[in-house]
Amino acid sequence: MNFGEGRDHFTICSVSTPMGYGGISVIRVSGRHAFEITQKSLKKKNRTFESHKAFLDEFLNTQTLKSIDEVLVLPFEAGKSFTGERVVEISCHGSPVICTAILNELCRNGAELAINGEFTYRAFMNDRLDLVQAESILSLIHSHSELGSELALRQLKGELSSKVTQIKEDIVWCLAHIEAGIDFSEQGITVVEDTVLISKLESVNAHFKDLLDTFETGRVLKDGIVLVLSGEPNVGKSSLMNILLGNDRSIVSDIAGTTRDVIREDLLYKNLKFTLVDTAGIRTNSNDPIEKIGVERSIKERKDSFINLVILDASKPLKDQEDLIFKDLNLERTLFILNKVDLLKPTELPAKQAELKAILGSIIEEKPYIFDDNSLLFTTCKSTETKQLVLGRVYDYWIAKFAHIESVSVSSVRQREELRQAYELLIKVINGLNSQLGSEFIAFDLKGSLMALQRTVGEVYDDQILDKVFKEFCLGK
Amino acid sequence: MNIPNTFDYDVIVVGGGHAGIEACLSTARLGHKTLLVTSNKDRIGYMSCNPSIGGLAKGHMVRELDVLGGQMAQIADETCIQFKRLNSSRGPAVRGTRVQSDKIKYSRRMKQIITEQTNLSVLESEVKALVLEGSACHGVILPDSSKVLSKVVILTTGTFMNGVMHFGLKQVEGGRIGDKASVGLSDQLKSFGLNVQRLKTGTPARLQKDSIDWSKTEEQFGDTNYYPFSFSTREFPQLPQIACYLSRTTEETHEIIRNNLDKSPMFCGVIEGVGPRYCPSIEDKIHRFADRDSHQTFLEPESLESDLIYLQGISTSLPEEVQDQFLRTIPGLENVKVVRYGYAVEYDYFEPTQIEKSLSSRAVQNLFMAGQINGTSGYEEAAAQGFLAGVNADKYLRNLEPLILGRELAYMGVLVDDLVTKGTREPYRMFTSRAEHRLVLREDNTIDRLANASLGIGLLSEARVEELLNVKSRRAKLLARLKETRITPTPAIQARMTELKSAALLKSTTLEELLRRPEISTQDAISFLGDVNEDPNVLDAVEIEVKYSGYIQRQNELIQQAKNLEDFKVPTDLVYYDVKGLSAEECEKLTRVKPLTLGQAQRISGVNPSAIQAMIVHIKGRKLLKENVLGRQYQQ
Repeated sequence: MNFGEGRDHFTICSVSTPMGYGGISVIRVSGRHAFEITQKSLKKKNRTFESHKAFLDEFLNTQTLKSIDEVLVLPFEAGKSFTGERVVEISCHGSPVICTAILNELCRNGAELAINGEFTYRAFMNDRLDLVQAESILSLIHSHSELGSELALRQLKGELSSKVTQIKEDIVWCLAHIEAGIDFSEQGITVVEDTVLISKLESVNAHFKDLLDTFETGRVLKDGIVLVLSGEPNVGKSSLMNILLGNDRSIVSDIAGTTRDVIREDLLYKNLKFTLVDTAGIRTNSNDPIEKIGVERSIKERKDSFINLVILDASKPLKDQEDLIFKDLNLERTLFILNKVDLLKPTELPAKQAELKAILGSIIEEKPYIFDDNSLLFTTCKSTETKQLVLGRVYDYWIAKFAHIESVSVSSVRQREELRQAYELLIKVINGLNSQLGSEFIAFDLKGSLMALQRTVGEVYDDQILDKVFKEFCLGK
Repeated sequence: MNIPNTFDYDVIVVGGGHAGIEACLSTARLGHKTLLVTSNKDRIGYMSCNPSIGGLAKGHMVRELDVLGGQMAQIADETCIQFKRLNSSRGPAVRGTRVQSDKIKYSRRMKQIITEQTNLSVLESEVKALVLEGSACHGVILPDSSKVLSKVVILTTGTFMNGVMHFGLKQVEGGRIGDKASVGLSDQLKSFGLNVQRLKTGTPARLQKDSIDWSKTEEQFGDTNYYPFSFSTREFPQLPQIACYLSRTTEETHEIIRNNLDKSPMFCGVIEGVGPRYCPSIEDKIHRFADRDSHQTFLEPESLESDLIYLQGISTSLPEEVQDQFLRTIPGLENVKVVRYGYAVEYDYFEPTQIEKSLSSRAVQNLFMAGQINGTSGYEEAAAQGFLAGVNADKYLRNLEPLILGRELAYMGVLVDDLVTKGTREPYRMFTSRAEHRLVLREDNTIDRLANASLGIGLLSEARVEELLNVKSRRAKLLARLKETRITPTPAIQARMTELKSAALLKSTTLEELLRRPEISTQDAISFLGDVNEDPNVLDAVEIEVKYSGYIQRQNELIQQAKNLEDFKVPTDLVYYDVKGLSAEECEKLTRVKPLTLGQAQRISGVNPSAIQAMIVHIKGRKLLKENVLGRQYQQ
């Protein structure tokens, strides 16, 4: 953790509302000296800071003594605030310039800029929140959809914890049996066969895998779907992007290679955040070094995307497209868009579809190659229905293939990493059992797995194993 | 009476069991004039229950005692009549040595050693009470009301404090057949505010050897690859090795026991003390595990000099006539003659959260406690505590820091930390699973773990210290040589690899890397060195260290992590009721245990992670406050 050690005595500050222009912005100051630090820049001296009593004042630049902004100051006494420390919330006018000036001033007065999540961390440290709750709050803040908020709320309610608890019980059962096998080996008690342990742990691991798979769903709900548009120059990527966004964000022209770098935009559709990424057209014969870099970036973006939209010009023979367009594509995550169908007769469409299938069949090395008809779309930028058509298809595609909305999701990277560690140690345990590794090493890995699992839900390991042993086995010489 | 001007002794040890022996020998050997008070000189070092020493985790402690300078290991080696290495087919960390000892010879040898020890006197008497002045103890009071004064008293009274034996519903005062109970002592301490509780233990019947039909039992011999407990034992084993005999209870046995449960003091509520869950009586086993139609029992000869057979696994407190009945349903025992019937003992113990990690009492100065009165069970657990109490009495008398072994250093450290931190509600027995750092607490590396601590105690003779350091340095040297010696894939080497049934080398390889291959033993690896002639004592340890280095390293990382909390000191004057966010239960437990570090606090059962967080915040806050008071004002 970046925060914590060494920073605990700092008074920290940051803008708590999104940076940008708006009605107001709120700056939060937290720490033992929150009141004094704020006071230094207020026009009226020797104010009494009374908890939960807001007042209006001018915030000054203490060097020039000029007013930065008129602000509303709301103090919270220690123990009565979000972080548990003294907190001041300063509402100013919503401008990055004003916010930055106030932050500078606070820092000059002795505050430190907060690290991401540090307020929540302090709330956790001061026992205002437990670990999973703290993470859920971070998720709530960062969640970009209603579904995402719902997920965060579910975690606040502890669904992940209960799912993990089931897995944990199975592991404890196995561990108890292994420990009993070690410590009571001379007592002629029937301890479970390795094969039983293996099959039990394998089924535990299947649950694990499900849980880990939900991570992506959780992340999409939190961060949105990243949609990368790629294709040859001048097939209409930017026009399509504009239609999807409903404005003229990308500069459109007839000159191939207009979009030389990557352009990103967010939009909300069916309560889910989509991040659209418009990339430079992919072609190999360009001499322009800058365009070449753009092409490289396009290829890279496609690799990192959640779903690729590959845009092809339906009015031209598909075999004339650059081979590069089809290279390194994850077909499971790709939708092909045959654009400019307004230039075609409707009767020509089936032939186009067959043409695409043939090309993909010849390029894709995995045999047999099966083309999914759902991954092909005919569009025209001249129709207003195109937005609905494309986003609707992407949404359905995501729901059908990747979403685990009904299941509990793992959305924080920390949880995912702990779970992954638990999962990998469990695989090690199964291998160890198969290769007759010493029981204490198997137990060591299994306990490691259990501890990772307990860390996921913020518990620590305790003496439950021995109690289990005593409960289940007839011991005693 | 004020503090006495003159003392009769530096140390008085009350009780001559396995804890008392180690306690009085270590204080006497460390130069303190010591008196051992025991009610029966002939029962010094007596094995009241099973005739064996060691076992899983217990064998580890016997070896630890040996390296630190205790007595138990050498005498167990000397009197071994059957040797076994438990779990030898499992991994190296959980292999445990157990010997069956000739209990008559064992006790006789211990008595002899104590009698011959300089600085040590033995008094056959009882202790009625302690000489208490204020909250300090200055000696003991004998039955004739005479006082013997000492600077320190170590209590190791075992099951004798308010001991009551149960034979069916018949009760007899006493801590062991043939010995009186010690009455008065625990009441005196109770009146001093000490929390006293009851525990229960039991023992099976002893049988007449020639009344058993051995043909109906299964002969079981020990192992023949011998590894003595003590690193100084040369000749092992010294006595003829004997067999034990296996038999099993039958449906009929169970039927008789079930029909007589109303005569068992455990089942009709006469016994209030809590018994050991891992060592239940036969009636308990039959009641709790009703689905099992048979339980195994070992018939173990107690001594080469006697005809007594110990019936392992069948401890009972049923009436004598019921024992006669059910024993005869066990194959081989159809005409058995019982010499001594099984019985249960109930006794007082002091909640061990009331002692310090040095095993000294918190409430009473100059008083140490060790063994069953701290709630443990087992000879090894008792000996380990007795030894530590003796060593720490020495430290105390010399005004030095107490010896506290870490949990990552010794099972003995786990034992003390568990007792002091968690307390116990049943007789506490050591298990390997109690040690979270089990992979580094092995029998083979005892010397490497504890040589330094041993030098700090000063109980080993010069010759033994030299021997100890010699083994340690030979291991280190061999390990270093394996690490730095490379073999290259020459035809000769490849031919040797084929001979060893190991895959050909692909590139130049160190012998250490080679030894990591499962099929390669240390013997194989050192054959490339040519001139090494080491004994198994060195080879085994090096092999394990290399073969399992991956796991050992991960264990060490965990130890390091744990150390962070372990290094976080809790101020001794911390008032837990001032800490925000602690539950009433947590406050009560923390106040009772007074953990020295956050690591220890975390191990107290019922103390939640959030409480540890709360403590961190509180302690850090206090520190900041203090810094501010000292003038480190907020900087402009």
